[in-house]
Parts: sequence; C-alpha cells; structure tokens
Amino acid sequence: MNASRDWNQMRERIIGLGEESSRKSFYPELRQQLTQLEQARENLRTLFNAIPDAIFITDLDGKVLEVNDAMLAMFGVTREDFRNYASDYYAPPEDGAEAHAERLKTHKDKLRKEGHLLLQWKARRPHDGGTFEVEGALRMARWYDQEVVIAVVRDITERKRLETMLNQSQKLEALGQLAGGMAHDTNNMLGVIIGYADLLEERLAGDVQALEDLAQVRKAALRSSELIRQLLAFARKQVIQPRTVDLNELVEGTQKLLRRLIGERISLVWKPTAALWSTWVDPSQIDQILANLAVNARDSIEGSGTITLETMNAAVDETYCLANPDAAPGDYVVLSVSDTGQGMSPVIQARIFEPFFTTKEAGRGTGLGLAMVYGVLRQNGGFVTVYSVPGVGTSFRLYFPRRRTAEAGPESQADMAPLPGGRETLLLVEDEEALLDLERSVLEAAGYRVIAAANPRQAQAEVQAELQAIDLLVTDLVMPDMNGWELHRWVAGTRPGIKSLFMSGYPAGTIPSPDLPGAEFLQKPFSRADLLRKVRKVLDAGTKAGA
Amino acid sequence: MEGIVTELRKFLAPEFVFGADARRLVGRYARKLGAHRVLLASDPGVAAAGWTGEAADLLEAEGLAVTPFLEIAPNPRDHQVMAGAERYRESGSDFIVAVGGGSAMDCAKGIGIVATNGGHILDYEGVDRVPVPMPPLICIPTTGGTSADVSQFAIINNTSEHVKIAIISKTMVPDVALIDPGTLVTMDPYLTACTGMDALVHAIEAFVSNAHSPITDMHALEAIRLVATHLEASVAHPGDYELRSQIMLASLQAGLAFSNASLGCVHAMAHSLGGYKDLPHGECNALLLPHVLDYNFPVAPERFLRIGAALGGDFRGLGEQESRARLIRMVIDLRAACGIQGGLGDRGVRGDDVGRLAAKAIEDPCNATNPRPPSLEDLKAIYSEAL
Repeated sequence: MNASRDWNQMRERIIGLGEESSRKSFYPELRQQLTQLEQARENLRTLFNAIPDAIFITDLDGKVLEVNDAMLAMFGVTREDFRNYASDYYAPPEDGAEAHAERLKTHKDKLRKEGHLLLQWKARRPHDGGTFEVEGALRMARWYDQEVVIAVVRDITERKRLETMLNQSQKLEALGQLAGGMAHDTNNMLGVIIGYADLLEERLAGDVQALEDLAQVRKAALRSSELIRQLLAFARKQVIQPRTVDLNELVEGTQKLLRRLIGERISLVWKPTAALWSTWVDPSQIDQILANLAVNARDSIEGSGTITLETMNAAVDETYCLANPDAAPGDYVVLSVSDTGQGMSPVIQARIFEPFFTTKEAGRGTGLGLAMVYGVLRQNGGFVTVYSVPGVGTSFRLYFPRRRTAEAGPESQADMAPLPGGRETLLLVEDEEALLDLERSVLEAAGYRVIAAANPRQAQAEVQAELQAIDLLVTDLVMPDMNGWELHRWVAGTRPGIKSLFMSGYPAGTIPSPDLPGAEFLQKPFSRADLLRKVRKVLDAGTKAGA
Repeated sequence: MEGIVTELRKFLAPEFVFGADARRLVGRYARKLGAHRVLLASDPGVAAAGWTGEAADLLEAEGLAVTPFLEIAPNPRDHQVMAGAERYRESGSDFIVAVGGGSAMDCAKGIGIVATNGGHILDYEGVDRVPVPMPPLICIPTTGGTSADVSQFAIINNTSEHVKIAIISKTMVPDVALIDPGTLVTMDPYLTACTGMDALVHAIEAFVSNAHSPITDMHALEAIRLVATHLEASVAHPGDYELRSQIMLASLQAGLAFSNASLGCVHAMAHSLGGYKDLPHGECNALLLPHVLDYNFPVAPERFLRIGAALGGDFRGLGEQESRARLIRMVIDLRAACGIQGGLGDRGVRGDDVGRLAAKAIEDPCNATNPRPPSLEDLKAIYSEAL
C-alpha cells in the first residue's frame, strides 16, 4: 500500500475530534463582519470628533440629531442636553420671526436645488446666551434613511477681528501716504509765507496796525506749521536724529513738563523698570509722544485720577504678531501710559489713530496727536497698542525695538578711569543680606570704614555704640519696620550733619518722601562704579542731606 | 471492534423535521434563519414534479427573493457547482435551499462552500478541508436514500478526471433538513429501488465501519431492518405513503449512521464507477455491495451476522463460510426483488476498465473506515468479480 495513504490518520480525521472546522454555522463570519463594521464606525466617530469645526446634523425641521465634540465645546452644551435645543437656539433669528422664516425658506430651497450652501451668521450658546460670528457649509445628505442637513460650522470671531485690524492698519498706511505727500508741499508753502512775512515786517516798520495784522499771519502760519509737523510725524516723514537711548532716562527727564501739563488734581506715577534695554529713537519724539498722551489722559479724567508711566522689557513672538498686524517678532522696550479716565468704546478705539479723528469738542483737539504717536512708533520700527475699558481707563503701550549695543558706550569709557574711594566712615543699612555683603566689600575695598547693619534696629544700635564720627548713611529705602527716610531722620537726630544716600529698586517718587533737598538716590540695580561714584559725589557735596 | 464504546466519539446531526408536510416549513425556517435572498438549488426532474415551484412560492410568501438554479445533473459536475456559486454571487443571495436528491443537495453544499471560501470546489476535496462555514442551508430531500440532508458528505463529479470526489466536513451539515416522505411518491420504481439500496449500503458500511459507535450502530441496524422490511413493497406500490415513510425513515437513520461512522469500499468503488460511467449512485452501490461484503466478511464476521439478523435472516447452526454465503445471497435476492439485475458488464464496464477504476477508487477517503484496509489489487479483484 502507498505510504502516503495512511488510512489510520484519515479515520481519525473522519471521527473528527481534532477537526479544524469547528464551526458549522455562518454566524462566526457574520460576527466578524459586525465587529469590523463596529470598528469602522468607531474610527469614523473618532474622525468626526477630531474635526475642529462644529458639525451639526439636523432634520429639515431644524431638530438636531447628532453633533461632534467640537460643537459641544463651541456651543457650551453637553452630550446629554444638546438635543434639547432646536437649531434656532444655536442660530437665533436676527430680525423678525417672519423675515427669519422667509430667509430659512430661501436657504432650504437653495439647498434642495444646489445641494450645498455657504453662510455666515451670528451663533448663540444656549446656556449663557453669548453670541459669536460663525461661517457654515451646509449640505443635504441622507442619515439613517431620512433627509438631513449637515452643517460644518466654524467660529470666525477671531478672523473677523483680525480682518478689522488689518483693514485699520491698511487704512492708516494709506492715510499716511496721502498726508505725507500733502504735508510736504504744504510745509514748503508755509515756509514761503513765513519768509515773506519776515520781509514784510521789515518794510512795514512803524505801521503798528499792519505789523499787528502781519503778526496774525505769522502766528497762523506757525500754527499751521506745527500741525504739519505732526502730520509729517504721522506720515513717518519727520526728519529725525535717532540715537541709542535709555528710555528711563528720557521719561525721567519729561517728568517736570508732564506734571505741569496734567495739573495738580491728577497724580503722575512713574515706574521705571530696572535694567531696561536700550532703544534707538530721536529723544525729541519721546517728548512729543508723552506730551500728547499725557494731555489725552488728562482730558479723559474727570476730577482726580492717576496717570501711570511705566517701562518694561518685552519679547514679542509670532503668536502675538498674529493678533497685531503692525507687530514684528523681536525684543522691545515698552513704555506704557495708563490713565484712570473714562475709557473708550471699541468703536472709538478702532479709529483713534486716524488723523483728524477726535472726540474732543471743536477747537480743543486737532485729531493729530495719536496719529503722530502712531507714526512715530512706526517710523522707529515699533508699534502701539491700546487697551481701554469705558469707565475704567485707557492704557497705551508703546513698543520701541530693542537696540543691541555691542560697541563700548560712554559708560564703559568711564569705567576705564580709576574709581573714587575714601577713608570716611559709612553706615550701610541693607535688609537683603547678599546685597549687604556685596556692598560692604565694594566699599571696604575702596578704603572706606563700613559699619554694616541688616535692618534699621541694628543700625540704631550701631549708631548708639559708635564712638567715632559717621560721615555717610547709605541705606535701602524700603525696609520692614522703618523706611529709609525715617531712619535718616533718626540718625540725623543723634548725628547732626550726617549725609545720606538712599538706594531702592522702586522708582524715586513712589515712596512718599519728606522734603529732603540734598538727598541723593541710587536706583537698583547698580554697578560697582555707580555705587562708588555716587558715594564719593555725596561725600564731596557741600550741601548736607537733611533739614 | 465491540470495544469501541471506550473510545471518544461524537455524533453530529442537523436540526431535522421528519413527517408529512415537513417541506412546507421551508419559508418560515428560511426567514427565521435570517434569509433575504435565497438561491433555490434543484434539478429539472424535481422541478417538473412540482416540488421546486412549491418551495419557491413558500419562500416568496415570506417576502424572500428567490433565485432558482436548476442546472444540476445527476452526479453533479464541478462546473455546475461553480456556475451555481456564480449565480449565488451575482444574485446577491445570502441563503441556500436545496430541493431534490443527492445531486441537488451535494451541488448546493458545493455552491455554499465556494460562496464563502472562494476558490474552486475541487480545492476542498478530502476530509476537513473547508475553513469557513457556508451560508445557511436548508435541505428538502425528494429521494429516499441519499441522506445528504443530514450528512457531512458532498460528492462532486470531477469532470476532467472522470471521478467523483468526496468532500467530508462538519461544514457540510445543513442548518435544517425538512424530511417529508410525501416527496417520494413522485419517484419511479427503479429510482425507488436504487435509492433504497443506497440507504441499505449506507447502513451496512456504517455498521461495519472501523469508526462506528454505539449510537451509529443503533441507527444503522434500524435502517437495515426498515429497508429489508419495506423496500420491496414500496417499489411494488409507489403510491403507498406508509411504505414511503418507512423508506424515508430508513434513509434518515442510515444517514445519521454513516454521516458519523463514515463508509467503506462499496462507496469508494461506486464513486469511481459513477464518475466514469455516469451511472446512478444507488445502482452502483447495489451492484458492488455483495462483492465487498464477501471481501470484508472475514475481518468482522460477528458484525456481519448482526446485519444478517437485521435483514431478517436466520443464521443459527451455520458455520462462518455458510453464514457468509447466506448473507450475500440475501442481499442479492433483495436487490433482484427490487428490480436491479445483472452486473457491471451489463452497464458497459469492460475488463480493461478495472485497472483505471481501481486506481481512482483507491484514492477515495471512504476506504479509510472500511473494516479491511484495501489494496489496489484488492479493489481490482472486487471490480472484476462484479463484472
């Protein structure tokens, strides 16, 4: 018998206890197909919910049958309650019920005819009633054996906002070109007028009436010239002489002018940030800007209020630029001017940088102030933003590009000169221990005898124990228990004639100060050279600190 | 062989409904099994008798779509199976109903396998070669003997090799068999005789199979008894419903037996013979049976005596050789009484066909359960005797 013909093995298989085909019914295959279908459905659901646009599936009467996760998030509803609202709740009628019904009918007809429809409307969150702008693609489809509309809805609030901003930015750009061209020619003509007025003035010497009239002509021409200057600034056509500047220093320098501008009833707070980066700008433009903003701030404050000037460093990234078409990524030195005035509505905010747009009564404003601010910032490669809440106040933030100074500045040249030292006795009071050690070693290395104290109480004890003369009090301004001014008054009481140097990280003026004409102030952080020069300067000054 | 009761055995049978008008349940069963579109496999003869049309009406009455497939000849051809599978596919069918004899039912089984497994029907030849179950299948037998309606077997004619191949798999068992003796009344006497003898051979081969079990023995002996008692009368009185029922029952019992115990050399040789000469399967079996009995008798004389007793013989006081002769005589007498005469030579088989027939037959899996493992020479000798 053929060896391959193993009857015993075949008999075993016929008896069938070990057979492979253990299933007789078609059912397992059916089950497998069902499982595959379920998986496919699960996959489609995952896809459905991964789409960031909201998807509605509604019947033709507006009943919502199914939505995706993005819809739940966008409309603030849950899987449990989204069906409780008809599509009218999500897209409320914007006008009368009749017009709404009419419009719906038009949409439906168009959908039936063309199969799809693109629309924009104002959507509503059913729970809080909040509305937002959306755009939706509608499509007819079949869903579980019924005719439905599938709407893919996208929130376009942000896009609309950006569009508006971009439009605004483009408008200002166009206006700037127009104004620039016009101002240039007009400025020349004004030059002619003023020049001939000067000539006439000489010829008319003696004719008082004529000279007076001519003075009016001159005055008007000069006034126009000032307007033109601002217009040129807006148009970024100002002739400028930028240089590397410390904005803190510039702003510091405008304080007097600003105080005079804003008057007594409004307080001015100046918060410079230490270690501010340098920027590149014409200092005279900073004066122009601050004067304009300060006047606007003043005018917006009824009664008393506060105007705060503040500087800071800021890094602007791509994300920020998306929301601000004028901005470019990079490092900026920011000067903010904030007031506690009446604020502005969004409608007004949208137009404030347009030339000749003003909310002030006729004759009080030219409408060129903010346009000029805008132009100056743009001319210097920066930009300006505004935040305003009606009834709360307004804050302008001016972004000047950071100037990186690789070359040695005047300061580093000064470093080359030997630093001044001395043999005097100094009382050093500093509550920051690390700083106290540093400052003491700097001063001792320069030859001074230093009595160090970590707080005012310790300082008082040292003063009482000290038998020799103390020449200078070097103290931190803000400390627990007792501030620098108070410590000075106490020390001066026991050691009349002592000189004082106050140090602080807070800007001068933020700490209520008594009238101390000779008091010297050192802004933290400071360098070794700053400290030694300042100490020497105070010691050498003829005037004594303190009354 | 009696010690077989200690071996593990399983018994597989479909749900079946036996009795008058069982066939009329087809619509309800198809619907309950989830049918939508039914391929109705049958043959022209059965259709002419009206059984196919009736089944179609019953299915349509349940709201099911029916696609008839009647291109099935006796000893169903492989290409007919493939055509049926194509009909199944193109009609989008999800269910098969077979109405007819062994040919229609085996063809329907083949269609089902190809429908779910793809490939060619001959790919599944042999034992346990069908990986995926077929679509739901209902069988309505219209002949008494084939038992394809309950069996794990399908026999398909390999037309290029002129041999019938056996596909044996649990997946071949239909979901439901609706066994209605009333369908037998349209069979002519000769067909009645052939199919009846087929049932007898099923029973005898299952009983002496080396894979038999107590449960298959019970069904086999009862089938032998029923055929011996009623076949001759049924052939003589084709319209007798009572006799038809007894033969249908015999066929069912034989089917349950051989489906689980398998068969032997009679079938292995009949498959080869039927494929070659396209003779009715029952007739082939009837002609070969006495010679295979003679060949097998020595290895299990006591079991053959129990067969003899079931056939109604009295073997008291006889020696083994006398008993063997008497048993063979009884079978030949029964065959003759039913009208099956002559030998293979009378059916056109010649002496030089024997080698070819044996060469095909020796490949048939039915040999595996024959009580005496045959050799090629053995099969040649038996064919020669049967001439």
